[in-house]
Amino acid sequence: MNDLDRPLVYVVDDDEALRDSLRWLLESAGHRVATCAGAEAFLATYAAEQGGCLLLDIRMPGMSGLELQDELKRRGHAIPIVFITGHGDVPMAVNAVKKGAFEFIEKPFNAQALLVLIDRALDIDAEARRAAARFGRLTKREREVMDCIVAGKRNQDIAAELSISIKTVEAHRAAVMWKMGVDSLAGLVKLVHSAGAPRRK
Amino acid sequence: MTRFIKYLSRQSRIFYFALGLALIVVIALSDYITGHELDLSVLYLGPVCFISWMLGRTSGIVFSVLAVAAWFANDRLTGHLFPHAFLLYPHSLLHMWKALVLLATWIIFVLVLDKLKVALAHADERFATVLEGLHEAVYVVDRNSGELLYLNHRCQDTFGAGVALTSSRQIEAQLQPPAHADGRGGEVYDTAHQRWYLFHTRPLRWVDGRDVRLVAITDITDRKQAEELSRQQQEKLQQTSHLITVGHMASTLAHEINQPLAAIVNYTMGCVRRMRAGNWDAQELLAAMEKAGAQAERAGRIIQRVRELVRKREPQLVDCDINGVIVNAAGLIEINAEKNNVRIKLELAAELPVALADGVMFEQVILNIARNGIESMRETPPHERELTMRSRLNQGGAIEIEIADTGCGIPAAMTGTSFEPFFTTKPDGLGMGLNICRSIMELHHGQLWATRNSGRGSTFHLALPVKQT
Repeated sequence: MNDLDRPLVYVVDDDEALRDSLRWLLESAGHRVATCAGAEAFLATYAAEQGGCLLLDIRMPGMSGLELQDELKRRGHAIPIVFITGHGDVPMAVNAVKKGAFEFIEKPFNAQALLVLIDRALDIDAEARRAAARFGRLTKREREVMDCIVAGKRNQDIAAELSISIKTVEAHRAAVMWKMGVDSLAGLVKLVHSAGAPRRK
Repeated sequence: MTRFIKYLSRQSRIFYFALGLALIVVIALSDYITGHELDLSVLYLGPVCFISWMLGRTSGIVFSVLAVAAWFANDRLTGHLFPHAFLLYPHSLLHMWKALVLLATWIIFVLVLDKLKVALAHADERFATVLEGLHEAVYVVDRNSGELLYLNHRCQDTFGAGVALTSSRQIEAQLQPPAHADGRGGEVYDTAHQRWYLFHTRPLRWVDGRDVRLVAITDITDRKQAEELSRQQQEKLQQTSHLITVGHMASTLAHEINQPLAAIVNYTMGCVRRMRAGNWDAQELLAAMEKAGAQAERAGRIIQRVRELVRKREPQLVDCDINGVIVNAAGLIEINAEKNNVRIKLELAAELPVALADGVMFEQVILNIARNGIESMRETPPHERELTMRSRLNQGGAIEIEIADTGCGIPAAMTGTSFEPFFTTKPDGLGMGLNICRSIMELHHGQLWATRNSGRGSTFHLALPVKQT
C-alpha cells in the first residue's frame, strides 16, 4: 500500500503539547498523523478524498470543535469525529455524539482506549468509503431503486412510484445487490447506513 | 440689677405672695398718710403686675381685687377723717364706679401680661425644643469668663456626670477641643468613655451683646464604628470573593491541568509502545521523555496557582430577586467606584420575574464584572467614567443584565462567549475572572458574553433563564 493511501488521523487541538504528544502516541501505533492548531487550519488543509478520522478538541478559541462539526456536516464531509473533552464538558460531548460524532474521550485519557477508538473510527471511515465507492458504481436509476428498497417499499410500490414495470424493478434490485456486494436486504441496509451521507436527496 | 432679678427669679411662690401683699400694704399705708388729695391708686399696678407675672393670671386677679379693696377702704377711711372728701364723690355709687374702673383696668393688665408671658414662653419653648431635640450636645459659653450661658440636656447628661455644669472648663477637662475647631469640625477621641466626638464651634454675639461661642458636640462613635465595620466588611468581602474566586479557579485549573497530564500520558505511552514493539530509536525516545518532563513541570506551575485554594462551594439555586442582587452588588462596589471617580447608574426593569440563582455567586459575577469595568476606566477622563447596570427581560424571555463601562474596551477576539483563560489586561490579574464568571453562569444555565460599545468601552451581558412555574 502506498503510504499516501494510508488513512490519516487528523489531530485538531489548540494546545501544542497535546497535539505533539498525540502525534507521538498515534505514530507509535503506526498511524499517519496530521496536526492542526485550529478548526480554520483544518478546514484549509482537509482533503475529503483522503480517508481518515478526526481527533478534535471540543473547546478551542475561535471556531470551536462543535462549530467545526457543524461546518463539516454542512459541507457534506462524513469524516468520523472523536471529540476530546475536558473537565465538565461531558454534556456538551454527549450532545455532539447525538449530532453524529463517532465518540468522545475525556482528558486525560487512557492511551490504549484512545487507540482503540481511533482504530474503530478508521474502520468505520474505511467501510463508509467502500460503501461510497460501491454507490458510485450504481446508475442513477439503480440508486433510486436502492433508496426505495432501503426505505422498506415493496416491488410493486417502487414500480408505481418510478413508473416502471415490476420486472424492471426486479432487474435493478438484482443489479444493486450484486454491485453493492450484499446478498440480503439486511446487509444492504447496513451498508447504506455505514455509508452515511452519500445518499440521494 | 440683673443680680437682683436673678435672685428674685429663684424664690418660692409663697415669697412672691408675701412680697406682693407687703407692697400692697405699704402702698395702702402711704395712700392713707398722704390723704386722698394725692391719688396713689396707680401704684397698686406694681404689685398686681408683679404677682400676675410671677404667679399667673388667677393670682393676678386676686391681687387686683385685693388692691381695689385696699384702695376703696382707704378712700372710705380718709373720707371719715376728712369729711370734705365727700365732695369728691357726691354719691357713693360714683366711688364704687371708680373702684370698678380701677379693677377692670388692672384685670386687663393682668390678662395682657398673662398672654405676653405665654407667648414668650412659647417662643422660648420653640427654641428649647429644637435644641433639646438635637442629638448634639450644645452649649453657649462666654468667651472671656468661660461661663456657660446655655446648655441643652444632652450636654448636661453627657458631660455633667451628675454635677450641674456652669463652666465650659468642666467640659474641656474631659475633652480637648481641637484647636482649629472654629467653623470647621474637629474630631476628638474621649479616652475615658471611649467615644468619638465631632466639635463644631461658631463665634456668636449673645442676646446681651457679649462675645460668646456656640459649641455643638456630636457623638460620632456609631458612625466611626459603622465606617470601621464597613471597612472590615469590605475587606472580608474581598477575602471571600477571593475564596470563591479561588474555589472556582480550581475547576478551571482542573481543566487546565488536564492538558499537560494528557500530553504526559501520550508521550509516555508512545514510548512504552515503541519499546514493547522493539521498534525504537533512543534519540526519539529521549526527546519524547524530555517533552513529557516539560509537561509535568507545566502541570506543576498550574498547581502552584492553586496553592491557596481551600474550598469549593456548591451552588445553591434558590428563588432570587435579580434586581435586588444588582442593587446589593452596586452598593458593595460603590466605595470602589467613588474612589475611582466612577458614577454607577442603575437602569433596572420595574418588574422582573424570579430566577433560580445562587445569590452569593451571582453577586460575585456582577461584582467581578463591575470591578473589571471600573478598573478598565483608569485611562478614561473622570467626567466620562460611568458604569451602567441594566436589567430587563429580553426577547428570548430570559433575564438579561448588562454591565457597561466606558473603559479601555476589549479586543475583538474577546467578544462573544469565549474568554481565553489567563488573558488579562491588568498588570496583576490572573486572567481567570471572566472564565470563572462564565462557569458560574453555566451553572445557572445562563450565558455570559461581551460586546464592544459603539462609543467607549465594552458591555458584558449576563442572561439568566426565568424560573419555570
